[in-house]
Amino acid sequence: MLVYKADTLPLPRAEFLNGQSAYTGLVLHVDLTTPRCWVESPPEAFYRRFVGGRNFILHYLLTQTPPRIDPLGPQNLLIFAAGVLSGTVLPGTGRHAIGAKSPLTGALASSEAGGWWGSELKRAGYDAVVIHGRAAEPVYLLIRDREVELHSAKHLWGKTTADTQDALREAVGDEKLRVACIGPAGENLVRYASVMHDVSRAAGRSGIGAVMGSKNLKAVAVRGSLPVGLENKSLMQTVQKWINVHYKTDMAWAIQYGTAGSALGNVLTGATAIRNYTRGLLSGADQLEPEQLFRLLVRDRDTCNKCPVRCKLVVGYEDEETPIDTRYGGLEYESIASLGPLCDISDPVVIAKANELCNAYGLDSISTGGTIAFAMEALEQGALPLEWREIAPRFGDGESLIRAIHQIAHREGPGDWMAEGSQRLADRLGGRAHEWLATGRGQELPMHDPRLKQTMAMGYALSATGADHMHNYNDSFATAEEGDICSRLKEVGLPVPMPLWGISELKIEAFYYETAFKNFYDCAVICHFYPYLYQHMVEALSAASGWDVTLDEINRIGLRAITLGRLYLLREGFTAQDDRLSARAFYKLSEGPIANRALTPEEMRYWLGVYYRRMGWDEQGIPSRQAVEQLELLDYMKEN
Amino acid sequence: MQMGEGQAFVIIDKRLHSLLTAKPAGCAEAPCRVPVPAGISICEALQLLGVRLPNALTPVVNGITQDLSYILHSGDEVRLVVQISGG
Repeated sequence: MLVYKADTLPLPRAEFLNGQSAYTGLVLHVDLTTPRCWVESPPEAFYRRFVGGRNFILHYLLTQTPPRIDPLGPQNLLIFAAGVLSGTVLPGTGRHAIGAKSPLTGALASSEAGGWWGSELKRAGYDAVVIHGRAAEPVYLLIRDREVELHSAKHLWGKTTADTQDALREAVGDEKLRVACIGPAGENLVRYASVMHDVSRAAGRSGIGAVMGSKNLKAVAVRGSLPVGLENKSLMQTVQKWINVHYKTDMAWAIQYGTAGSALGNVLTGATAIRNYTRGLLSGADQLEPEQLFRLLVRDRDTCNKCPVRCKLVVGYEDEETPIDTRYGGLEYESIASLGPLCDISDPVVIAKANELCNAYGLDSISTGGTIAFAMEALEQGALPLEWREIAPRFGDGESLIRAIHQIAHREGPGDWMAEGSQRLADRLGGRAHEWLATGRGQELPMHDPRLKQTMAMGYALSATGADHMHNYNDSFATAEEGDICSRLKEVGLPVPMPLWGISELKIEAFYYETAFKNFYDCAVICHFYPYLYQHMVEALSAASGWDVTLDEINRIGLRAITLGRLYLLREGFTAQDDRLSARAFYKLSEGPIANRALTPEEMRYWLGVYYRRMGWDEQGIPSRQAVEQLELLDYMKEN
Repeated sequence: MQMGEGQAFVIIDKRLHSLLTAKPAGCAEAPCRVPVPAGISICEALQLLGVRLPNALTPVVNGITQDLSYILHSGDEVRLVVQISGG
């Protein structure tokens, strides 16, 4: 259909690059409407200010989309962004971010994925790809060593993610082609559809898969042979040496069982919500014991680019009734919790099957589980239409959970309503339905219960992406001097450890620094499981770029992502009143490990005010001109 | 460190045991149930036992999640849950 050979592509060479930097200096733009493509070469200052990932996404959304557009309309952008560190030799940098205006929340969608895709994009010659417009019919994009091709994907439409990847690899004749694609859920505009990479790595949250589907873009496949440079190899080696020693102890948990190993522990401490946040105890919880899970389901281990940890599981089940395809990888804690205990289900085979279907159809497992659990309660409360009583999902019923996932992906029966997410489903049902909701900014809560992790709860309410656990502060992790969070807090001069319960001025300060650091990770774009400290990031970013980076600079890069996110929210019509969580976040349980524990909405509002002041925002959560100027973001304030 | 009357018990399961960089006395193999004096905090009990690992721990005392500063009472049973990332 459309082919731009590397020698015919208008290619502005970035003058500041000496061929050794870890970034390409090139951003590819593809307009699917016309179709045409062009290459942008941002100045060095742009890279130093933003680094990549979430900051790149916010830059393009704020400067190249009008306010209040339809997220599923052609004006929305879909941005794939690596970071300066992506694809370098440093372990944990095989990631990238994808962003857009979210069709689930109307706010920012910014989600990261592991695997090889982000590194391969860099080797293919680009730091980011910005998709504009909408194709007239299904297409896929192929990027190889700066060369760009757009082909028909009519034959791929309707296929699962694994079948799509297999078909593209066969068509291109390259087993190592790295494929980002949507499944039927994205095609059917399910508002929490994900983009899958290497079949089992999801950029899951906030519905970017639906944005991709709205553009008739089935896949973006990349392959490259261009080197990713380094300005200072010996400096990078100091960080490599440190992590090569420390990952064996600090990440022993990941080497051992991956995140699946935390499932039972999180149920025992109350971090996992049970039966749509209404119970404190899970029947059959022992089935989530990691050794047992592994014996039953885990067939192999897998990893991401340059990562020695191999935390990814390859799950399979050889059973005629419930076969589980190993191509879809494995279970992560969030998927286990949201498709299991949240739906009052503890059978590992059912949970693994549900996870396989989410990966095959391209569905965010957290929002899928959250929405189904909400529907289960709506059914129990008699709030669903009568004709759905027999086909809607029921608490504790694995068969109905599996059926609901099929219904959602294909928008069949109650699945058409569930495909809109729990917030819209509650709006539709009316009555008391909002009392059963567990959302932040309209996005289903992750599986770290806000009644246990109360500072994280505030982070859920604040995030420009809607409730998110990754660019957040985890109350349970900073309670002892051990661990990377406390080590980082010590680096910025804060006393540790922090108390588990409640919020305090000191915990707000910890939240301020840690959320900035995590946002830096999402700009760089680095795996959150890696226990790097500020000093390591200072050295790694300096080594990759040749800049003389400081600790304060790392912090400011993260603060820029938070502030740009805030400016985007305000531009899209959100106010301080939207920094809140729905009712279930405050619902006190009468049993279990977190019985009678929860913040009140008033307490959360108070602490939000303290955080606003720390950020230099007014009582309405609006950043002051001075705060924005200090982060060199005034040009983005003018856009509002 | 102020000791009270009686004993509490710290349970170390196989998972935690496998991640410890130093194993407490009397717990060569897991699972094990190790007595500690009542009247001290969980944090102090862990120091006393020499429990060390590179991740944070959340204690669950008699089925209720507590802070590490929780003061142990006679007969308390503490299960320790390793805090690891969730993706």
